[in-house]
Amino acid sequence: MSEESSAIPLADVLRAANELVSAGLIEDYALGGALAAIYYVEPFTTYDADIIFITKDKTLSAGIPAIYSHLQSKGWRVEHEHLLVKDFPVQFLAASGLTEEAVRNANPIEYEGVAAKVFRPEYIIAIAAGVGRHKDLARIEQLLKQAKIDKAVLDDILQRYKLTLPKL
Amino acid sequence: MKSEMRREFARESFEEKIRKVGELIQLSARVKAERVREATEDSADVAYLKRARAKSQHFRPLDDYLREADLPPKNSNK
Repeated sequence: MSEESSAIPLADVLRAANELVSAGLIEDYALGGALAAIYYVEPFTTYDADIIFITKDKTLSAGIPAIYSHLQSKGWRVEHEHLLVKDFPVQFLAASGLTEEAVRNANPIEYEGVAAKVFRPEYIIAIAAGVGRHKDLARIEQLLKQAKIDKAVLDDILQRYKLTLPKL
Repeated sequence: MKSEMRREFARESFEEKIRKVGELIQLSARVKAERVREATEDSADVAYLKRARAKSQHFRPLDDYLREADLPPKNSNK
C-alpha cells in the first residue's frame, strides 16, 4: 500500500464481499485475520485484510476465478495472492472445517454503515492456536487480555478441533 | 505501555481503530523510507572516502617531489 493511500478502504472491501454474496458467487463470508482481532483488541500494524468465505461452487477451484473476475471488473487489481482495492491488499480465502464454522458463527457488525460479519474472538484464538506462528501466539495473548472471551465456547471449539492453547 | 491504557485502546470504535492502523502503516512506511535514505547517504559517504583514499594512494604528495629535487617544501619560508 502506498503512503499516500494509507487509509484502509475496509468499507469498500466489505461492500465488495456483500456484492459477492448478492451475486451468488459465495454463500457467506466474515472478516478474519488481524483485522478481525483488531475489532476486539488495541490497533496494531497489519498490511492486508482476510475475507474468509464459504464457497457456493464446491469444485476444486472454489469459485475463485469467478470471484477474481467479478472484483477485477469493479477495478480491483491482482497482485500475487492478493487482490488490491485502492492499493490495499485483500486475501479471499475459502473456508473449511474450523474456519467455515467461524464464518457461520461470526458476529454481525456495521462498519461505516456497511453490514458485515467478523469472527468471534473464541474462533480467532482457536485458529491462531492451530497456526501457531509467533504472531499468532501474540494475538492469542492480546485477545485473552483485552477481549471478552466466552471460556465455555472457546474450550468447546478447542476440544472439538483437538487444539490446545500455547503456554504464554 | 500500561495494560489499562491498552485495554482502553481496545474499547475504541472499530472505525477509530482502523484509522489508527492506517496511521501505523503510514508511519512504518515513513520510517522505512528514512532508513533507506540514510543507508544510501552512508554508502555515498563510504564511496567518497574510498575514492579519496584511492586518490591519495595514486598521487604522491608534492613535498616528496620537492624533497627529491632538493628544493624547499611548499609553504616553506626558506
